[in-house]
Amino acid sequence: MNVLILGAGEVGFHIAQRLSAEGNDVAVIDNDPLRLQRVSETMDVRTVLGHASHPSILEQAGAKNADLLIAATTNDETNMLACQIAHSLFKVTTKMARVREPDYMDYEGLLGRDDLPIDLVISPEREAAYSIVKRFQISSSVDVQEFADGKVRLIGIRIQPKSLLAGVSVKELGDVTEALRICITAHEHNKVWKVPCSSTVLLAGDSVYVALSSNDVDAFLALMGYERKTHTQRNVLITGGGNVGYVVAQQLESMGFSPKLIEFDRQRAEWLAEKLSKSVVICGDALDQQLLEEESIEKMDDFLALTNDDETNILGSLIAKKYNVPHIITLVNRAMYTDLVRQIGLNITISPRYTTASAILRHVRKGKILNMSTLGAGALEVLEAEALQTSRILNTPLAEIAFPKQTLIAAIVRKNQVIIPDGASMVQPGDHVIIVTRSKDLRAVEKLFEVNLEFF
Amino acid sequence: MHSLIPAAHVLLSSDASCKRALIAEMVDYLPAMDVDVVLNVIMAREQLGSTGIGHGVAIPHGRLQALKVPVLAFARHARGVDFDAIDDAPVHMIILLLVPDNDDRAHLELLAKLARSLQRKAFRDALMSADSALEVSNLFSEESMGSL
Repeated sequence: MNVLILGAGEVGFHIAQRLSAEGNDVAVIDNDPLRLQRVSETMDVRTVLGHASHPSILEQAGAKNADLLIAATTNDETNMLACQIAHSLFKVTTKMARVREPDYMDYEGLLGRDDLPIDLVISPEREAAYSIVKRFQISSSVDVQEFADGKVRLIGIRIQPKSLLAGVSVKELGDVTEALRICITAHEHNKVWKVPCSSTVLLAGDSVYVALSSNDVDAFLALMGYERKTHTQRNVLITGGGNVGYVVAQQLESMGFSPKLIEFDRQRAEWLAEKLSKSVVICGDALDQQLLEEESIEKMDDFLALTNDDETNILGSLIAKKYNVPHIITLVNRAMYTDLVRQIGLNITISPRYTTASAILRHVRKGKILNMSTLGAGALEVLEAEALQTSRILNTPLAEIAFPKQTLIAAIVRKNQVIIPDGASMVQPGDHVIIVTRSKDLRAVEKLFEVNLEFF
Repeated sequence: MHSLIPAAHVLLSSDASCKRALIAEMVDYLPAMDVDVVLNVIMAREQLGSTGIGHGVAIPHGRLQALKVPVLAFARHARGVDFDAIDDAPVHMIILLLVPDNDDRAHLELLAKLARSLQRKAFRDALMSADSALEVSNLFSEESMGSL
């Protein structure tokens, strides 16, 4: 596939890296020679220097042959205009744009083939906000991902010393969970994530991702000893009322929470206080220990550091950690900080760059692949694919299919039924299959879902 | 002699640089076809799995609501164009097949017939060495497809 990426910032860079590693023909446009240099030094892509929405620059970058255009410059208007030009002049089939300003998205009828021809609009802030809010849907101490319209959930938990799972091997799992059907899709031991095999033993301190039917989530969490307390009584403190903080507060309110929100800018704080109904908006400095103590930081269950300044977020999170806040989420924009932050013990980081890139990558795989997301810091991928007529994966017992190493089918969704499969299970046409694999084997897995010539 | 592909739908030497450009070029030879619509249909189908069947042959195909009868076009590409074919080889002979959007089994049979003929080396060689659009068109007649 020929892909044209506009903007070599954090988002563009990350997407270019992923798509070129997967064997696509990628060209990147940016008006900053230094950023382009970083791109061409890191990956095998073409780079074009210039303004991303100028027709001549787009032409030079090969827009005529592009199947996909991803407009990810920092300027909303440039991105939208580039999509229009790519459509009108170069007939690029699929166009995606990163648009920050929420105002553009508040009006229906703006987008469409005969209007503004953008197939997918992505707001980094909104993506980040949603991935934060998702963590509150079940119990904020676990990571949750949804597949097949929410019929299947992937739950990430850490195995506690007295957990029923501690010391159990994957093949003995049935003895522990009894009637409850679950599939361990990913296993972390000593910071290495792997897809487990039947002899893998789960130890206390390891982390796992468990796939199961959404109907079984409560029973499973109860079995694991997680109390599903009326968690809307949790005390949530948010620092930063920018685009991310505002959307998170808004969403949490709609889920029944009443968060506290600290915002530095007085005008913005007033605006927030007006817009939010159940949140308590405080105007002040996110790093002011006295203020944090006044707001009883030591009693908080959740601390969300969401200002637009990475350093403030990291320091704020460290302060919260000092006060033993059990659940801390740190918003980190710059890629180079993400690893650093883990090393200093802040485990949950949300990066708009990363969530945006994965949202875009999910849509790139439109067709056979309906949904995808990453587990374990990017080592593993979970895909949701539709098994179409004539594809290779059909009608063969799973045990007999030559999957790439460390690849497993976590769940099969047939109409409304969720099947946690075993080696004898078979995939039927129309099934949605949730499959986990290593990033480097994505292509091989995709091949299993490719249709034959006869598919019309 | 009745042929599946009229001479007017034959493009003897394309120099398109990619799959998409090639399909767009072929659609130009079909009267009253909306290039955007055809491209969307064909490229969406290609995303599900390439129609490059090996030996330098591809049969991109799709359903179009506006059609009453199947419409075919043929293009030859001397240099070869990348089609993500199953043997990863560049494609030199491309047959575009557009059919009405109904459940008629005949579409499948037509596709199978084309694929069968193109599996034969003699047929492919004849296509590659044909000197005119008419000659190519004649190769896609009932008699020729049965005999070659």
